[in-house]
Amino acid sequence: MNKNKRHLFVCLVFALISSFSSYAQKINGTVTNKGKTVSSANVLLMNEQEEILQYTFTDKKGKYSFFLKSPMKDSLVIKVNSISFEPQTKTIKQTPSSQNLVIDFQMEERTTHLKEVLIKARRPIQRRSDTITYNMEAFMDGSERVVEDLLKKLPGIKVEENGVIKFNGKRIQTMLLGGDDLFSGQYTIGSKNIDINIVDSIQAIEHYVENPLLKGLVDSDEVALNLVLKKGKTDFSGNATLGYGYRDKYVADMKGLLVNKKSKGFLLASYNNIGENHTPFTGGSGPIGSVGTFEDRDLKAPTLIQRGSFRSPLQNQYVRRNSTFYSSLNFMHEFFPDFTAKINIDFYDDQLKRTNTSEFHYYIDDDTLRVNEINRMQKHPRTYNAKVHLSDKRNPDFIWEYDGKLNYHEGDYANLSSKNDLLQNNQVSTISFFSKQTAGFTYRKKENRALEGNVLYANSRSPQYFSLTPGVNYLDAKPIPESNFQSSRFDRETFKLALKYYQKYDNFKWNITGGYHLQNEQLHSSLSQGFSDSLIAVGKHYQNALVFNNSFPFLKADLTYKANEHHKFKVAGNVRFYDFELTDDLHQLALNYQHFAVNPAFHYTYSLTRKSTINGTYSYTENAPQTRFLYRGIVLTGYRSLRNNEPRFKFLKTHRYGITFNYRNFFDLTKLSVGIHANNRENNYYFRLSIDQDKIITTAFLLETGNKDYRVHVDSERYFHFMRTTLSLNGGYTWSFDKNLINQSDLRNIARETLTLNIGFSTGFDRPLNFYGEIDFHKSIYFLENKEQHKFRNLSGALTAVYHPSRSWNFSTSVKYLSPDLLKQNKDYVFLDLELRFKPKESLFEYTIVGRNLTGIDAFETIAYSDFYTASSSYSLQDTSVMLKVKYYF
Amino acid sequence: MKNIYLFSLLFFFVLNVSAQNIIVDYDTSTKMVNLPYPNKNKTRLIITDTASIYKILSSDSEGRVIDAGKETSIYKDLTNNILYKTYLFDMTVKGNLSKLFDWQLVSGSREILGYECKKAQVFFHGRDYEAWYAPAIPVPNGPYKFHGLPGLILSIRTTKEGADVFKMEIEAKGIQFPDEPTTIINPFENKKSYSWKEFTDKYTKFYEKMEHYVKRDATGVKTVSVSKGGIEIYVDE
Repeated sequence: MNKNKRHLFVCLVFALISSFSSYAQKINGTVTNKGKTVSSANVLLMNEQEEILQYTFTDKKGKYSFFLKSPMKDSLVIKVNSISFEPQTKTIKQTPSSQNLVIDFQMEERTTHLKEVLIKARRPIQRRSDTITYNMEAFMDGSERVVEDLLKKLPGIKVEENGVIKFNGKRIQTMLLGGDDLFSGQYTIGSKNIDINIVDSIQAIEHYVENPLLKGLVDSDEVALNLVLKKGKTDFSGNATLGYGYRDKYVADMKGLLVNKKSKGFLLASYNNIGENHTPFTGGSGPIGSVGTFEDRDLKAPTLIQRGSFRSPLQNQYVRRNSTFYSSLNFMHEFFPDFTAKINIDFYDDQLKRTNTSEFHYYIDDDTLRVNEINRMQKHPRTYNAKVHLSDKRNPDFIWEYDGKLNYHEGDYANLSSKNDLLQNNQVSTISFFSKQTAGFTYRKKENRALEGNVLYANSRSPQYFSLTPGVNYLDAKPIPESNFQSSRFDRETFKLALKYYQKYDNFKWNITGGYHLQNEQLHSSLSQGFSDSLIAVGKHYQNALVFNNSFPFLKADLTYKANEHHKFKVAGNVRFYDFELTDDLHQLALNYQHFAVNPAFHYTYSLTRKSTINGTYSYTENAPQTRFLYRGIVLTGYRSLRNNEPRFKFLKTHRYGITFNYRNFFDLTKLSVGIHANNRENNYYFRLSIDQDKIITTAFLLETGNKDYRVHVDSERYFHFMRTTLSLNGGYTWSFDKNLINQSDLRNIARETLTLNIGFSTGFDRPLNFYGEIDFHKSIYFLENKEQHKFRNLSGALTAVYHPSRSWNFSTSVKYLSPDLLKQNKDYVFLDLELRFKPKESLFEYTIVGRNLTGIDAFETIAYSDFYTASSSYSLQDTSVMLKVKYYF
Repeated sequence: MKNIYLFSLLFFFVLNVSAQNIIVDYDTSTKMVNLPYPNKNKTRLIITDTASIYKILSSDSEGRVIDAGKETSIYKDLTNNILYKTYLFDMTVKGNLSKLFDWQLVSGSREILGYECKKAQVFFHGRDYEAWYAPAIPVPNGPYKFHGLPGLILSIRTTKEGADVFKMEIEAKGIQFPDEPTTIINPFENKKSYSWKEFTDKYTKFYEKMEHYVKRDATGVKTVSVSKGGIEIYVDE
C-alpha cells in the first residue's frame, strides 16, 4: 500500500511539474517589414481547425509573446495580421513542452484589398446649421398616439407635465406645423392633439428667426419645433370634456384638429361658469385683450371711462363669477407651394358679476373724510377678432407677407352704485374698433446681408357712452339733473414705413433701420346733463375736441459684438426727429413743436464661467407726450371720479440702470439670480387730487423735477438631499418716490417701500404621497414728507398634498390660507379644494371629480392703502361646488 | 512655431502615406430601461494607425461627416492605449484601453458584410455582451468603447432578454478602406479628465439627489427622473 501511495505521490508531483512547465511554455518573436518593426499587429494562436486559442498584439518594438494556457497537444498555427501587410501564417509542430519557441515574421506590403461595403441611408438625426431633424421612424415603436408622446422620446427634448416643451433645457417659443405657425403661442393645443401618424419628421430649430431670409443675421435665442407632415396624409383628431357640478356649475369644451396635404385647421369651443379663464382675453381690464395686445398697444385707441374693477388677490377659481364662452378657429391653406393664406377667428363672450361694499377713509391735512360705497356690478364683454395672413415664399431670395387684423369689441357695464346712501344707476357702453394692415418684404441675395421693408397702416376708435342716473349737478344755476351723460371717443390712425438693412461681419452683427412714422389722433368728449325735457352740455371745461398729429423720420441701429466666450456687447441707438401739431380749439391751444430725440442703450454680458454671468445695462429714453396727458377738458370717468390734465409739451426723460448676476449649477441643483435696477427720471407727470364727499377730480401735470425708484431682487432655488426637498426663495425690495397735491396742499413728497417674499418647498419622497407649499409675505410702508403714513402687511400660504398610487389614479387636496392684513384685526381665510382623477389604462375616457371652496366661504374682505386713503372692501365669491368631469379623446 | 507645427504635420502625413485607414458605419439600436422604444442611430468609427473616433453620425445627403458634438464621440489614443469619453456634467473620463475588457473567445462564426466573424463575450459596466469580430480585419477596435479583440468588431449586442431591460445592438452596415492620409485630432486634448470612479461617484451623488428633487414654479410642480446610467451603469445596483 505504501509503495502504491508513494508511486501515486511521485506521479502527481511529476504531473504537476509537467503541467506547470507546459503552462509556462512561451512562444515569442518579432514582427518586421524590410528591417523595420511592425507594431500593433494582431498575433493569433490557433489550433489546426483555425479556432483562436489565444491572441495578442505586437508592442512598439514589434515584439509579441504567448504563455500557453494549456499544454500543446497537436500542432499550432500562429497568424500575424496587420491592416497594412499581407497576413502570414506559421505552423508549429508539437515540441517538447519545456522548450521556448522563438518565431519571427517578415511581413510583406498588402497587395490584396479588403472588401469594402458602401452604404447610403437616411439618417435618424441630421443637423444642418441650426436645424436638427429627427427622422421619426428611428424613434417610434408604435405606442405613440399624439405628437407629445413622441416628443418625450426624442433626445434633447423634454415635455413637462403642463405641456411646456423644452429643447436642451430651453422653452420653445413656437411650434410650427409643416413650417407654419398655426397656433401662435398656444402650441400645447397642437402637441397634445395632433395625431402622430401624419408627421414625417420633427425639426428643432435653434436661434429661430421667423423670417427665413434673416437667419444668421439676427441675434435670436428662440427655439422652435417644426412638425414636418407626411405627404398626402389627412387627419382629424381632438378631445371633448363635459362637466356638471352641484349648484348649476358647467364646463364644456371641444377641440378638433384637421390636417391634410394643403390645409391645416384647429377649432376650439369652450364654456364654463366655474371661474376658469383659458382665453387670451381678460374680460376685466383692457378693452381688447389678445396675444398681440402688447405689440399693438401704441396703435389702439385708449378709453377713458371706467368699467368697474374685478381685481382681487384671490385666484380666479374663488372670485370670478362668470359665464364664459370662447371659440377659436384657425385655418390655413396652401394655394401653391410656399404660398399660403391663414385666418384666425376668435369669439369671446363673458358675463361677470360682483357686488363690492367699500369704506374709504381719506386723510387730508388733519381731517378724515369717510365715503361708503356699494357697487353691484355686471359686465358683458363681447369680442370678435379676425386675422388674415398671406405669405409668398416662392422666390428663395425674396419673400413678401401681408397681415390684416380686425378687432371689434363691445361691452356693456352696468353698476347700481350707492355712495353715502345715494343710489345711482351707471350704464357704460363701449365699442372698440381696431384694424391693422401690414405688408412687408425681405430680400437677401448675399449670405451676410439682407434688406427688409415694411409698411403699416392702423386705424382705431373707441367710442364710450356713460349715463349716470340720477345725475350730479355740474352747472351752478340749474336744478339737479335726472342724468349725466358723458361721451368720449378716441380716434387713432397710424402709418409707418421702415426699411431695415442687416449685415454680419466676423463676430459683428448689425442692422440699421430708416423710416417714417405718422400718427394722427383725436379726442372728443362731452359731459351733458339730462332733464326731463332737455339735454344741456355742461360747458367747455367739461369738453374736449383735441387734434394731435405727430410725425417723425427715424434712424435706428443695433450692433452685437461677441468678442470671445467671456465678453458680449450690444449697442443700440435710436434717433428721431419729431414734428408735433396740437390743436385744441375749445381751450384755445394751438401748438407746433419740433424735437430731436436720441435714445441710446448699452448691454454687456460677462461670462465668468459656464455657470455664471454678469449682465450690465444702461439706457436713456425720451418719450413723446401722450394724448391721455394732453386733454384739458374734464371727463366724468366714474360716478364719483373726474379726470383732466394741465397739458405741457415735454418729453419724458428716463435713465435706466441695471446689473444682474446669474448662477446656475445643474449638478448641485442650485439657481441664483441677484439684481439691482434703478430708474432715474429727469421729469415726470404728477397728480393733483381734489377730493370731497361726492367726487375726486384728478388732474395730471408735468414737472421738471424728477423722481427715482430702485429695486433689488433675489431669485433662488436649491435642492437639499438630506430632506429630499427643494426650497426656493424669491423676493424683492422696492423704493419708489412720487409727488402729489391733495386739495389745497403744497406739493407732497411721497415715498413707498415694498417688500415681497416668497418661500416655497416641494418634496420628492420615494412614496406616492408628496407635499408642496409656499408662503407669501408682502409689506408696504408709505411715507409722507419722510414721516410714516400707512403701513400694511399681508400673509398667505398654500399647502398641497398629492397622492398618486398608480398611473390611473391621482388624488390631490390643497389648503390655502390668507390674512389680508396682519396689522389690523381682519378676518383670516382658509380655502379647501379637492381633486380626484381616474383614467383607466388604454381607455379613451378620463374622469375627474373636483371640489372647490369646500370650506364654504361666501365673501371676502380686503383692505387697500395709499398715501392718502385706506379702503376696506368686501365682495361675494364663487359658491362651493362639486363637479364631475368626463373627458373623451377622439 | 506655427511653421514647425505645419512641418511636423506634413512629416506625419508622409510617414503615414502607406497606412490604411478604416471607416465603419454601424446601425445602432439602444433601448434604455423603462422605455418602450429603442433609440436608433447611425454611427461611424474612423480608425487610423494612431487613433480612432466613434461618433453618432449626423450628415447631409452627400454623407459628409459633420461633428455631431463632442459629447457623442469616443476617442481612442491607440499609441498610448487611452480611451476618452465625455459623460454628464461635461466630465471627460480617461481610461486604460488594455485593461477595460476581459474578453472570452467562444466558438461560433457568422458572416457580416462578407467577412467571416468569430464570437466573443464580455461583461462590461453592468451588462453582458456578445461580439462578432472579423480576424481578417486585424485591428483590435470596435464601436462604442469596445476594444481589444483580434479583429474588428462588426457586431455587438446585449445578451439578456426581457421586455424591461436595457438592450443594445450595433451592427456594421458598411466598411471602407480609404487611402487618403487622415489625422484625428484628439477633441479631449486640453480638457480636464477624470477617472471612471471619480465620475461614477459624482453621478451617484447626483442620482440620489435627483430621486427627491421636485421643481416648483408658477405653472405647477414637476419631477425629473434620471436613470442609473446610460449604456453603462454608473450607479451600483
